[in-house]
Amino acid sequence: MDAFSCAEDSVETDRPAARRACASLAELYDEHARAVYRLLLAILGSAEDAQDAMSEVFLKAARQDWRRVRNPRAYLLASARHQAISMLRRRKRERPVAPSDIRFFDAGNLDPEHVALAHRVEAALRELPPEQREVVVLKVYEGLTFAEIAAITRARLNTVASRYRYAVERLRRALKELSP
Amino acid sequence: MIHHEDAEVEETLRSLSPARPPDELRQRILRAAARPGGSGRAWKRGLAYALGLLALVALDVAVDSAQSARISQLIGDGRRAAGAAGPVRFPLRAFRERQAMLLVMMEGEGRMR
Repeated sequence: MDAFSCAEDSVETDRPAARRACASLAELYDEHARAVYRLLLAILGSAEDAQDAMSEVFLKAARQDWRRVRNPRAYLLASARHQAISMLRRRKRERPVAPSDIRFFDAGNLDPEHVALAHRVEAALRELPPEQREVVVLKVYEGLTFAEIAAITRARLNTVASRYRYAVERLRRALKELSP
Repeated sequence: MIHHEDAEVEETLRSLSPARPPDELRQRILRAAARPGGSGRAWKRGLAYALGLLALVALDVAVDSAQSARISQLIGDGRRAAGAAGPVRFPLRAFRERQAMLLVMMEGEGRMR
């Protein structure tokens, strides 16, 4: 039988190349899945779409010759962004998502005090355009520099810095307004 | 001042953990990646290319054969028209003779009109 399973890291296959590919994909996923998912969620604003895009990104990654890639994280983030933007374009035509559908934080893992704050921040994030949200996520959660973000988003350094400034300014204002 | 306020916003964001990808997504992706036949598209493209090339060669042979038959018919060689032509010993000479014969035939046809 040709088919095999990568599940639970127990790769059952006679093909050494397939086993190697499977193991390296699992490694890649474990290392970068959270960052990729955060970015996809920030751009798409829908968990369902973010998961679909994740599948596409990692399946493409599985076919990639990684010897040519110097920075796998930057590669995956750029690929995720590209995937998210094409999904966003398609979605605009097919089924526009209401801003209230956007769920960015994991409310299940937060204490009650943080849940209220998460709702406020989420509401503020919803007001931002996707290109500002992505810069915020890449800067705050991934700790990337503006130059690195510019390379991933293929935007100018000044543009990235301005997007971040606008986003933080709007978030700050929104948080002040929303605070009781 | 501005930087301090930025830092505050960043701190607020960092204090909240963004949603994590569901565990079953990992299995789904790894299973899909492991499924054989990922390179099926390349294999099909190769086959289509080879078939296309073969069809072109066949078309070229058919056209060539039809032209040869037509020329033989015009020249009056019954054997060649039937497709039973033997090997040509002096291809260049045969080609020149054929060209000359064709010219004569075309001139003849022109005069008849």
